Amino acid sequence: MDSSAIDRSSTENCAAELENVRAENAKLRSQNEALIREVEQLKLTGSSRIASPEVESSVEIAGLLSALKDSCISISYCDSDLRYVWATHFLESFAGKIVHGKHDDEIFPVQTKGLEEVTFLRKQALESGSLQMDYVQVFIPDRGHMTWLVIANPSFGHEGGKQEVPVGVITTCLNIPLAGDSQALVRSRTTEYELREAVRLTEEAIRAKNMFLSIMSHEIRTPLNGLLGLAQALESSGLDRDQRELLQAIVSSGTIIADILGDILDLASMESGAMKLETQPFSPADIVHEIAKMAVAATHEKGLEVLSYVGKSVPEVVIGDGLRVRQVMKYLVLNAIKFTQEGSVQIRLDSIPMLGTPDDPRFPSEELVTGREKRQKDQPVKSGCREGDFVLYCQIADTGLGIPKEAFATLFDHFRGLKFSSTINHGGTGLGLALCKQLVELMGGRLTVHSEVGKGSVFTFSVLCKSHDRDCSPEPTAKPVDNRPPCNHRRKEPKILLAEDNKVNVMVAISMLKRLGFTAQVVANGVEALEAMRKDKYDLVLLDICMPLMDGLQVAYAIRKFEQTGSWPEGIWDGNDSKELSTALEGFRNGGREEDSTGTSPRIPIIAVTANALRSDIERCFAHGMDAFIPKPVMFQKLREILSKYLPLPLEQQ
Amino acid sequence: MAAAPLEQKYVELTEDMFKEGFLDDQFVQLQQLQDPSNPGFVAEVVTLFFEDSEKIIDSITETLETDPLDFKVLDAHVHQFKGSSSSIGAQRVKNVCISFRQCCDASNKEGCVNCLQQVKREYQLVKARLETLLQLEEQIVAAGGIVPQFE
Repeated sequence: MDSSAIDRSSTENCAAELENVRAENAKLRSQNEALIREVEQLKLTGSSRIASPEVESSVEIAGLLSALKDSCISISYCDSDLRYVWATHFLESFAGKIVHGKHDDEIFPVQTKGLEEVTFLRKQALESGSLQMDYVQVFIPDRGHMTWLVIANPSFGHEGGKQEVPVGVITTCLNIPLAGDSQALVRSRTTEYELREAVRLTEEAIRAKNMFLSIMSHEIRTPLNGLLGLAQALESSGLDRDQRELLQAIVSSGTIIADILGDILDLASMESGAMKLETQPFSPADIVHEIAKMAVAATHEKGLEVLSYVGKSVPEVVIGDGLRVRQVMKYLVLNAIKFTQEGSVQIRLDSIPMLGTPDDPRFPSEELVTGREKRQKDQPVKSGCREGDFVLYCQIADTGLGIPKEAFATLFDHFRGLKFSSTINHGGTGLGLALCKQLVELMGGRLTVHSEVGKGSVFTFSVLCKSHDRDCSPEPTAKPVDNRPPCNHRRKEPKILLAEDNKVNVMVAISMLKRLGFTAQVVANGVEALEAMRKDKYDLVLLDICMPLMDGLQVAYAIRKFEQTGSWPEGIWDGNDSKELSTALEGFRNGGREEDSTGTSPRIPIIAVTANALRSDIERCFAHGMDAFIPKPVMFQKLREILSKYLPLPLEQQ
Repeated sequence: MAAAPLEQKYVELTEDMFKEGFLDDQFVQLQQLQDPSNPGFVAEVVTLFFEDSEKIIDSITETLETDPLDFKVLDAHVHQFKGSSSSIGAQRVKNVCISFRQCCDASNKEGCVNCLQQVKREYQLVKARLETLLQLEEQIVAAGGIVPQFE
């Protein structure tokens, strides 16, 4: 081979070699760069702890970092010298410059407050190797005061073969809006809480008030009944005319007090939602006639005319709370009489079958008195009634003084009444109209008034009633005449139990009751009385106190106990004077109140009949649960008076 | 016989009984309970009173003869008598019963014995008069008259 050929091939070889080397170099360089990048990544992400299997490629890591950089929280990574390695843009936006490689004090303006605390947290994290977290009050000029939640999290690396030590710290700062908006939020939450508290306290106060009224009225009622009982007893003793007149005045005042107490109790029980309405059959026409007769008697001296009218469409018997309807009507009529000096008082009763809601155009509308017509919260006016229900619609008109427009707004409020001079003489607590209104509304109706000063007033109320069940057996010879139902039951007759052992007394009592339109079941002693009560339901009990085997007091006690608890007292059937009687009397007395009786039965009126009219005897009667007492020998008027308080008297008796 | 003089006599007799305290207001109550729906009421009650009283007087007499004397039992009988006499308005009988009960309370046997005598006497007196009254009533009704009422 010649040298030129060798030279040529060696040059070519060299060139090729050079190319190879260059290629290799380039490869190496890129590999190197890749390696460097990888190392950098590894350094940044710390130990293998953070490099989780999910984040495999550097591309993903880069993506994550990029996302972090753009997030709205400040996250940063500092080395062990607390120089920033990287940070999210958010932090950088605070600083206003790139933070890489710098300390906090080189980044933030001089007036910045809070950096020391952050630094402290980071140092703690590095030293302890555990997470540090705290609130830091920060001030950045141009940004203002902020509260940051600062979390400093150490990041670990290996140093040689040693244990993991913190090589840097990741700091997360969250801006907690405690100032400004958040404070308002906290404030409103506080206010809400305070408001709830206030409502709760108010409701409690109202409950307490009603309870107080109930209890006080009862406490007053018991000695008052005693007082009236004593007055009655006094009446039966020999009195001359002057004494009798004085006594009448005493009884009259006492009765007024008792009525007021009754009103207060009614109002309290209505407000507390404890008042329950009856659903018993009653005759609206009978009520009107009764009250008309009463009105005639009351207007005798004034010479007023009393007119009553019962519409043809008013059913003979309806189901509802007759006593309450009577109460309202009576009050309104008495009111009308009170304020009328001449002319007339009219009572008018109509009925309208319910076909729709109270706002139905067929429902009679009256000009409503403007004022605070607050409905009972739990007793909305019933709407959507079924067919077969009725509205009883009653108007009481008078030609009296009339009511001025100024008085309308407070007319139905408690304790207001009318505030003009001519009423000063008329007395009364002013509870009446408020009570009437509430009663009427409780019965699903409305109470309204029209009035003109000098001309008179018209009070109108409506109540919802159900039509009477027609399932009573018809009389065999009955022929339906003008749409009346075949059976003509006027009213459920009250069942009276009479416990009396003296035959003569029984005959007289039965005869008196018969005159009043009642019949009674007679038993001769306390044991028989309780047996009768176990077997049957009675509407009223007349109890002779001195009876053999078991006296009236024990009977009354047993009855009340049964009403309260649903069970009879121990040993009561032996007829012994059980010690349970004396020990339990106190507890019984407190528990035996009408309003909060949670027993299984309603409270039955128990009337003591006794010759003993000493105060201590009368008090014992009431303490054992009696409601009233009639002295012996029983006088017809007294019997009638007492019974009329608890039972509706049949029509003939008016 | 004509009704009018009978009625007159009835009134006089009743007035006397009231004046002398044999009857009190309670008797008027009984009369007022008598009406067309209850025509023989007074007679009925008074008759029952007679029957009842005689039984009670017997019981009282018996009890007083027992030894030892149980005043409680005695008092119970007297209490009954007081009740029935009071119910029909036999005032004087009732008043003796009241004293009688006081003697029982005081366990005063002699007093009780005295009271028994008294109550028997008063009972006989009022019974006689009432029987006359009832007879008059019958006669008045038979003569087509109306038994006078008192207020």
